[in-house]
Amino acid sequence: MKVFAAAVAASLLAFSLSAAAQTATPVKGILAAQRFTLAEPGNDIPAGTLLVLDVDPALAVPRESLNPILYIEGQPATRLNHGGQSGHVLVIVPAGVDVNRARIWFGAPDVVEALTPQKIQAERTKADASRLSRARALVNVERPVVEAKDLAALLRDVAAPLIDRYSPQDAAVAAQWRLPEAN
Amino acid sequence: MRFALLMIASTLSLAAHAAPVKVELAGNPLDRFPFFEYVRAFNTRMSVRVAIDPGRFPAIVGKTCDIFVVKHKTPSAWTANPSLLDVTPGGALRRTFVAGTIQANTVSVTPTLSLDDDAGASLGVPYDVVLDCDRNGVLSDADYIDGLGAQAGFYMVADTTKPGPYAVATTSYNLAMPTATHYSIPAMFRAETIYYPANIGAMNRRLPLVVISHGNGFYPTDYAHIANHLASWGYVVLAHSTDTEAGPITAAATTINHTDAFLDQAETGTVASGALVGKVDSHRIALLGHSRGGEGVVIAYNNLSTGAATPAHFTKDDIKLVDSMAPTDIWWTTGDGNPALTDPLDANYHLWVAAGDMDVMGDPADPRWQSQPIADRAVGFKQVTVIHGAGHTSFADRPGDVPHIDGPCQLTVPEGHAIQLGYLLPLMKHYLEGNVPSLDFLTRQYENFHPRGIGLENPCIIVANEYRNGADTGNFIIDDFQWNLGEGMSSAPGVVTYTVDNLTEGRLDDVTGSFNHDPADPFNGALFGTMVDSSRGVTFDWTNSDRYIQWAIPKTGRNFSKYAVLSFRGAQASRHPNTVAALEDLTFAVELRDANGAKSSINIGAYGGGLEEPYQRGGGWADEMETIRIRVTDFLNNGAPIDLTKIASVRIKVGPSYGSPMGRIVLDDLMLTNDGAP
Repeated sequence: MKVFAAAVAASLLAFSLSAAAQTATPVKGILAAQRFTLAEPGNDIPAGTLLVLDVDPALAVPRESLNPILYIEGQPATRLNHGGQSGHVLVIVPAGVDVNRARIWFGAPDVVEALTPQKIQAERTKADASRLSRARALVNVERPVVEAKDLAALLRDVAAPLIDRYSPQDAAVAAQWRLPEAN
Repeated sequence: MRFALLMIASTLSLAAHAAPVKVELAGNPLDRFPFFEYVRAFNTRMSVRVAIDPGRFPAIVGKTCDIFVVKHKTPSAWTANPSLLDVTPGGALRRTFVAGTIQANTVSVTPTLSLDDDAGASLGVPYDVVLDCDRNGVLSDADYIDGLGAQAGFYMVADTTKPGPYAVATTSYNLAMPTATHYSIPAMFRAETIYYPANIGAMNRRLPLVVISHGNGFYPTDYAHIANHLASWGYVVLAHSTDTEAGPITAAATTINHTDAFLDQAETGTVASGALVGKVDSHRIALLGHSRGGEGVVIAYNNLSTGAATPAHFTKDDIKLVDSMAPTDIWWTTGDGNPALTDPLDANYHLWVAAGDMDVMGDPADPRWQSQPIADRAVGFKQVTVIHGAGHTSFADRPGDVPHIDGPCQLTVPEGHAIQLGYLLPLMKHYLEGNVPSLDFLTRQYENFHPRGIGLENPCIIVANEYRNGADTGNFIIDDFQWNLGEGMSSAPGVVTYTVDNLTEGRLDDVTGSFNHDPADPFNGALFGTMVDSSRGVTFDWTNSDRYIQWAIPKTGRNFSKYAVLSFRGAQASRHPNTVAALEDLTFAVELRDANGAKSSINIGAYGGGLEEPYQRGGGWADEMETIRIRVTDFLNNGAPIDLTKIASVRIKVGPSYGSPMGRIVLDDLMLTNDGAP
């Protein structure tokens, strides 16, 4: 057996301490908010909001190593693009989150699938200690609610145009959503 | 002397005669002992030489033979038609073989650019070499032949950096939502782009499948150069969208699910307008991933092996190659309550390392950004290719992208891609199709043999290749340092003695987190095992004095004649004063001694190259293992009196009399192998 449990634990601790040393960094603001509902959500959320965030591009550059985790109200955000060049990140937020009151920030570098309840709680605590305020709308962001058939349609018809407008450097991701369906 | 083609129509049957002598004949002359190397593959710009050692084959002395280079025949084809038809421009050569040395019995049989290398979508046109010593124009019992078997005597290989014979068709689409949902693929990652030979409809066979999983911040089409290349050589390639943002475990799941969905959709005719129905071989799959996707394909194989993933349309046994380009190693050391997943287990595994990588950089202080330990965990067939001057994005193709290379002698994108494609094709051909000459690309030093299209004029192009045969049979481990721990005993087991300086056996792990030379860190620069690995080796040095390390061979293992190749891997120790004293390949001698005290010694530099100087990033980055392979019979050349059936010891001799006057090296995996097929 090639693994030594004690050494694993030691390495875990070292990495956790390293990550915890980071501070919460708020996003600059919200550039657009698009509420939506899905007629046929399947396994996806039935309703929510697409948010375009204005962020420090340096925090959004995708790396293979750890990247700062984007949190919305204490939960890791589902990002739809990278935004490392535009500084604009499109995220999808479930309906239960009040985007008008949400605190949105970058936490410690990590990979999303490695986040534990303990790590997430530590990020919330850091945000509280930083007296982080809610993300402010930089323009009038309210738009009428759109209804899409499913998440694929939402991405194709609503999210892709937001990428076109706010982060054209990420055109490849929008192009993927616009591909025809195999049938 | 050449003479006119002798073609005798004959009804002679090979079966009616005693068998001709099967020997190795085709190869290249060397400027020092053993003075000739027998090989399987030649680039077409290379001249083919034939040599026979009169010491090993004394019956040849005094015989005048006609040397035929013929199209390869199987044994049954030789039986049916033993006639000899030379295919070289000038016809067969006549030569009288003499006593003395192998040098005196070396003949150039083909001028450069003279033999056909067009094997279609295969790799290598097979040829046999025959010494027709009764000069009857047929293969008969008085003759010598290189190639009377499943393998040919040698192969002329086309430029593996160039596209293959097929035009490529490609199409991009999203899986329909019901399909994506069925296969647990999130809506935003449904995209697939597939590449395949445009004339696939006319092919009456199924083609192997190569699945490409991209890195974080990349897209499926960023690897179009790979996909087009492989499709042009007869593969179906699936480049799929991957959730790398979440991490390698999620990426692994996406890879398995996309592969499963694709096999289903291809077979039902849902994609590519039905062109792939009956055309994709679900039992010959290669998983290729970059960075987080590169770790993802390892985790995918691991999950298939453990039963954590159970796709409907393929199994672990269908994965013939797992190939990672600059992979992360997040899920080996991170743990976080999950089992350590980044382990290729028994997969046939290949690893690409970009020596100038600024992302997965080979950080000695953080094992998550070290790729090499993944390869060291592999217990089956294993290859590593280290490319100097390459960066993290060198493996992808994004016009205008910055290559992100740190270090000197940086490669251009086309240069990096030529290396990548040139080696990737033989990898796929070998593991997906059992192609024979491809093995030469994987096992011979870059300086000795490499894809023809890699720019020869650029001295910055340096590639270090590591190969370990993982066949269940035909290998004998002399010392891999995993058993009988300690400096006095080998794995075999056998007594180890030495006069080299500062010898330490231990984990191949830089423990200080810095590449700076530190006498307290004997494996400085060795990033082959993390703190939670157990990959071990030995390191030692010498300084302007002759020294040795010797492995005694137990009696049960002394018959070296049962094996084809003596093999080990080694690396120069990064930034050690003896390493930086001369920025060049390091050489030394390997000596076999038999039970009667007879010995024979070969300098590893005889075959070209040696142990590579580590890439001079910051004055030396991670150690780079290179595999040194010596044909066992090479030790017999020119009358060396050694008895290969009674080898008592293997000795590595270092110092001014044997090669580099000083050095510090790491050694591992000293073994004998018959190069069994994967």
